[in-house]
Amino acid sequence: MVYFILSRIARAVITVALVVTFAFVVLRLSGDPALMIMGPEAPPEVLAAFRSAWGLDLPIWQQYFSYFGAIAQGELGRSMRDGRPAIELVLERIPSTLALTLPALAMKVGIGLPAGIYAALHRGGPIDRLVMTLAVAGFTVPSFVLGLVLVLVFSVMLGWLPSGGQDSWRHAILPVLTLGIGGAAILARFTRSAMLEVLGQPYMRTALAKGVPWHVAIRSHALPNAAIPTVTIIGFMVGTLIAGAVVVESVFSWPGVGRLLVVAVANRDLAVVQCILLLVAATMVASNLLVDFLYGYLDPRLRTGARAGAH
Amino acid sequence: MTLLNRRHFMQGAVAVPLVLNTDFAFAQASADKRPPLVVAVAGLPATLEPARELSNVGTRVTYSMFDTLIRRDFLGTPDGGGSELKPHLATSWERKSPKELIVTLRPGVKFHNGDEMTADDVVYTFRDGRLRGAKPEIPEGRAYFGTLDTVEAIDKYTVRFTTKAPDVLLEQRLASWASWIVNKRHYESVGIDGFSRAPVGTGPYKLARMVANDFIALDAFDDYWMGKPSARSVTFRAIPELAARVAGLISGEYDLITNIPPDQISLLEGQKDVEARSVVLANVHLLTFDELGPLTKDKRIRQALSLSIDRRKLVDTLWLGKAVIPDSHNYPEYGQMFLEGRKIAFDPAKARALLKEAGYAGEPVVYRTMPNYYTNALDAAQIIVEMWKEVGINASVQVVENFNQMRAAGQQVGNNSNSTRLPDPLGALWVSWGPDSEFQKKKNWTTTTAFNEAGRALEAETDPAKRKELFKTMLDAWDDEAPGAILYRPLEIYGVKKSVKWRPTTFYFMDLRPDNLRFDQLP
Repeated sequence: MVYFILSRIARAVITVALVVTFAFVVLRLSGDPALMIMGPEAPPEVLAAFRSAWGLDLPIWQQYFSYFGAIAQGELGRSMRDGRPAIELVLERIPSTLALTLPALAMKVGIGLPAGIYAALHRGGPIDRLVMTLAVAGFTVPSFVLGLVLVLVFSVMLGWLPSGGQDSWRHAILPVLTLGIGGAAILARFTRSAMLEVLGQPYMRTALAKGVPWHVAIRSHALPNAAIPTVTIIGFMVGTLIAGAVVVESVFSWPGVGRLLVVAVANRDLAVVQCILLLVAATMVASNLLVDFLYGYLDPRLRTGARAGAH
Repeated sequence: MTLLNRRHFMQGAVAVPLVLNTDFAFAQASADKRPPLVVAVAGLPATLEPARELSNVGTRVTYSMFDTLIRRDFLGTPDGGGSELKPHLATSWERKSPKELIVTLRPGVKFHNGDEMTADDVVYTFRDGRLRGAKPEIPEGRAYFGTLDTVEAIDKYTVRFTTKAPDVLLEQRLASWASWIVNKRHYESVGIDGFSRAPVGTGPYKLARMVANDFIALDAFDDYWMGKPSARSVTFRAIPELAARVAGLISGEYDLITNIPPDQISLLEGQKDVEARSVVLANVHLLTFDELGPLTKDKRIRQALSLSIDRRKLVDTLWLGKAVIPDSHNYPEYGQMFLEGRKIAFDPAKARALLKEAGYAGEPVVYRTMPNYYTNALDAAQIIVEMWKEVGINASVQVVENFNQMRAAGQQVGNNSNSTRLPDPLGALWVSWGPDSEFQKKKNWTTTTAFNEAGRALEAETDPAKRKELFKTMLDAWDDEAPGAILYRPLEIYGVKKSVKWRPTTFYFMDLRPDNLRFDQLP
């Protein structure tokens, strides 16, 4: 088990290092932060002063190694735009993003799971067809289209809800709906197909043949077995809690991590971009670990397999 | 299953409403009867140090927080581009010699922190080391105040400015970019970074709260020397999506929105309570022809590229006929320096002849542009390329993400915009294309002898007739060498509630002083 955890952590560190390197190379080679931040009409001596202040006049390999050296010492750098520590900028945005993504996650699970299970249990019926039609619509409509349609209906035409900003809980309703609808649709489809597969398994037939009542067979045999693929999807959704709302935050002018990322990439504000990437990678890795542990809990075979592997 | 238990979930659930409600204590209704003004903008400045944020997004906000010694009366002409100078923080000014200006300050002007504005604050604002000198804190300042030699207080309300050489533009400089007066005591106690986040000026609105990339909230400064501001508060809110800004204006959440493309005017005009207000900016969009690039190193090719553009067609199709084709780098706001009778030529026949003379044989010409940096840039590029094909140029558009990619090796045609920072060629053409410009420093334009000689002479000249003659020489040189081709002066379009009485200016400065902001009661 210790080996398992250590190897996962080592892999995660390598992944993060590769992500950071890739981002560094791509961002630095495709744009000059001085020109991005000071603007094209800035006098050349201003650009030169900016570059020398941020070390952008050094050879790129030198910038790369000093950047990595700083990270190794826990120093994530400062935003070139306003001089504040990048980590501070990112951390102050996380509550805003979670204020959208956590309720949206609850909505995805709260609607997607029951809808998928219900559709599977009533396969081919009118409700199944309705749920699946809505689900296909839900995940094929891009979130920026859905967001703008919701704004058009609820803000412009009906005037019930605000179109953007973060002034009150009412401002969160449309972005949470936009995030939640797509995710619930995906989850409903996965849950339905997982359930259908389980319902056709021999052990279900055996249980029913033994005289186990339908609802008991579903509860003790079908649901736990169908949970494994579903947990994988939910785990992935947990992994996107921090940076999964880039588009929705932009459409609704929600000041979260996603908006910060967009602005930072456009300005080539490297320290901030890297800081967000590190955080996203860390969340993804953590949620993957969580899913692995849950597999062990849900499936006794994996648990014994893991123990056997540790010998 | 123990990792996400009920307790954690409840903590998250409890945090949500707290997060949603924390930011907005400032927005609570108060006993103040004046309405608040909410402005939705595409972007916000990173700081509020006025000389550090000279971009459109920056000056739009800081213009309401700071004052200049002299006020340029933009609204004194119908087009919002007036260049007359009026007393502001200074009640009068007097030229002692071509190099010396004495400025008398208005007594009793209060800063947001209660201090009275005096000569000390003015001297501090223009001190060596802030906007000028060998290593200024704000290097951008040198472009405007690099000409200053000394700034000294004569008494509490009198300041003497001296310049290194005769500077006919000094009064205009003191009414323009980077010249906003800061509070010395506060600046010294918090330093430039502290001041950038918590500035203190004399303007009609003072900072209440600033959340990076989200909003900047200002409160009325009721001790303002021009009288009580007409709004209780002004909030600049970052709404980067155009559709979201328009939706928020129509639904009544915002009073004023910025950065509207021309094709949205009809949508806004179709609404009951809102309208579009536009102004032709003191700025031109132009193409740049790179002398380092293949083909464009030949002057005749550059001239042909410019001659074959039908600017009227661009303005009519992309700008609803409302953008203005200027008479080269030569604007009416220059006053007596304006050269009458110049026009930008559209002459496809001459273009074809020049191409033939240059031996052009169908080699490719690539026009690089960013899709959205300049309004309508991509549409304009596609139309221009078709116009070039009409005269036989094998042209195509290449879309790039930023200026580095545009200016990378192999560039032939790119684009740019030139602002008229001061109403004089020295505050516009000379800044954009002179020896200190990126174009000359990076050798994109090298055939500059005539242009630079005339420009240097203009810098030292004070006689109006001679200045005008030198300007003509500069402009002839630029037009002949054609390192670029002016397209048009673009529009800036605002969406505004009809009840908000406010006029835009030809700069991005948003004037919300009591004499330019009023609210009508809705029926």
